[in-house]
Amino acid sequence: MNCETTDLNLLKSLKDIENTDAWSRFDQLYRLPIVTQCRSVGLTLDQAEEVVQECFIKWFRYLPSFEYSAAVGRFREWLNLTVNQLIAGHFQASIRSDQLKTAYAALVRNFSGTDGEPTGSPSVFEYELITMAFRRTQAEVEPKSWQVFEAYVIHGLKSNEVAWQFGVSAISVRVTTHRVRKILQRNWRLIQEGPF
Amino acid sequence: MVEHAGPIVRVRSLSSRLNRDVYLVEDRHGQIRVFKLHRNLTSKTIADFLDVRTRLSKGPTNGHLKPVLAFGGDHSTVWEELPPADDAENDVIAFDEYSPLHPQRSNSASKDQSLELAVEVGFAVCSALVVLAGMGLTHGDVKRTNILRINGRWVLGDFDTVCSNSVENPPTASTEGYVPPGGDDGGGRDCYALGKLMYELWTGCDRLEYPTMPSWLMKSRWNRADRLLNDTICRLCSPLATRRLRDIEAIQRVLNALEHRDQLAIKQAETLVRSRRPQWKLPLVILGMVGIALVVWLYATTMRFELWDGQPVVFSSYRHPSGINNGYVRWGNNGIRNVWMLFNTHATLSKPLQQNEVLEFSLKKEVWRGHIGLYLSTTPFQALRDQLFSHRENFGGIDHLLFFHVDGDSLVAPTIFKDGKAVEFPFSNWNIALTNNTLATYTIQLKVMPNEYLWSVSAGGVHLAEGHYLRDPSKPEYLNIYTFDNTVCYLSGLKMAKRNSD
Repeated sequence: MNCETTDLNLLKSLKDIENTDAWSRFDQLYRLPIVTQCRSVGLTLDQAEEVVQECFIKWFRYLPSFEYSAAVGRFREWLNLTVNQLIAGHFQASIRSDQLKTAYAALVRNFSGTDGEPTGSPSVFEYELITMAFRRTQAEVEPKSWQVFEAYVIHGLKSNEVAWQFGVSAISVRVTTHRVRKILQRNWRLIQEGPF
Repeated sequence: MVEHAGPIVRVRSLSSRLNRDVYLVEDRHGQIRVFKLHRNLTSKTIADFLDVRTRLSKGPTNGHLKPVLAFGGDHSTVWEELPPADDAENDVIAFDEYSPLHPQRSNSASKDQSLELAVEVGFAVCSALVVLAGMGLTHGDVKRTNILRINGRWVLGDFDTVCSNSVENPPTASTEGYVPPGGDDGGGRDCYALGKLMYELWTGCDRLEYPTMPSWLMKSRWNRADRLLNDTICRLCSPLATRRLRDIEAIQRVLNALEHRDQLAIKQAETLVRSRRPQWKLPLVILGMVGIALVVWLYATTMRFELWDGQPVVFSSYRHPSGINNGYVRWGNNGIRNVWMLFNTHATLSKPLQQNEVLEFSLKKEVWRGHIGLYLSTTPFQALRDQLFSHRENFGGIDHLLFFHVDGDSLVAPTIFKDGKAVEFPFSNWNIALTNNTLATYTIQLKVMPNEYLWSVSAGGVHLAEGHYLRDPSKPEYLNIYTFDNTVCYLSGLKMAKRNSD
């Protein structure tokens, strides 16, 4: 994002929904990062455009009555959350089985540092976030590395079983899994910190 | 087109998109025919269309390209006649219900059946692409719905995006998921799409889910063919363009091997598909391992050693289970020179003594209690598995000559121990010049002669004693320093020289 801090003047101008210049500037600033975020997690261009529209509709309703307060929370954090929630909506149906849910939940707990704590199941949004991180990571790592990770972590195969399937060593399975997990965790964090 | 088709009995639109329509036609002979019309084209596009169709109709075919039966055009419209594909639902084409058959994995298909379908279709498409490449053409829109079954064979159809592979901006269809990330030219794009197509047919997943493997496939035990197919798909669809397999003839050989399950061919295909690690990686790994070995060796041989005035020395300190009177070693300065301070510790010069060597150094016992001494042994103390810190007759159970020994404040006569028993030290070999009970600094000089050891002891420049004992040149011996029974000893000023043998 090319604006390091929230432009308060722009925010004030957006209170007037007739101010086309302000809204045009807002569109100019915020459209591209949203599309980039959508594409990075594997949404198609049409889906990305849909998310952009949904974001702007939401903001169009909310921003005229918005009162900026740095103490309450950063404006950009709120924007990020809005965008990510709307993107996440496209992944709602992707977690189909209980086994996947269990594996995803374990990853969410691990990444958020709540391993072993008596926490409830992750929220729907958290499941969707991890799915988004999956998509982003899939595009980043070698396909076979991803498959090894998935077989070991998601499908719960033993390392020697995975090694057999892919014709690699059990050590290589563990090393690959570790590497992919790191990238996945990084992407999981980056998605939440983006797109702005 | 009307002239070519003749009188038409029935027409049915099969598909209609912007400026492009496909019709199913029944002519007066009752024959079912398929015509495709393209409207509103520019003269350039018409010329390209006619050029490609001419090349396709005149060029060689291997039965995997959908034949173009006829084609033509006028000002802004072109048409082509294509053979009807096998009907998805009926054995004989039913005019009103006709829908072309595309490859599709059945949900009830086994792992082997899925693989067979993926390989069969993949091979057909690959063969079609080889023919196109032979004509200097690329397809540009390989996807499941562009593959049809005609007379029991899978063929690649839809030539709307086919163009010469020398064209700079090929007219490719951007079907999401079949386009390589970062884009690619026609040939590379076709190979990538082929990989996605085989992935869909093998796994039953959508191409956008790639490279995810479905649970049913992951949990069934793979064989060599499964592994090779997966590797081939991974190479075709690598996110990195440089790692992508683009040699269409090589891909055809791999798929041919898979289709015929020829073990020798599969083995060759594996070599072809499995990406070799870059050549520099192996030397790098070896170098790394050598480096680690070197570090371990250095640690084992050098790093554990300290230096006493340039000479490597190893310290072994007493350890009590409860930490009582644990030995220690300190390196410091007594205001004049650097010294080692030892408490309940054995020190060993790690190099064995050499013939003609002359060693000189100083020892100072700090307190009256306890013992300090110097001994020679063929086994260095630190090399013992069970190091026993005890009195002279017992420490380590090693054979030794204790040639210098201060007990309390008395310089006592040398002793020899062999197999844990005392051996009498010849009285004549030990001469005491002056008995001087002192805790002063002792200076010891040890000469390694060809067949004996000579040593002298002095304190404050006053000669106190001297001794000698037989030496077996065939056995390397080590010099050890002994500090026992809760006493402290300072070591300093080691000088080492070689005397002339004559």
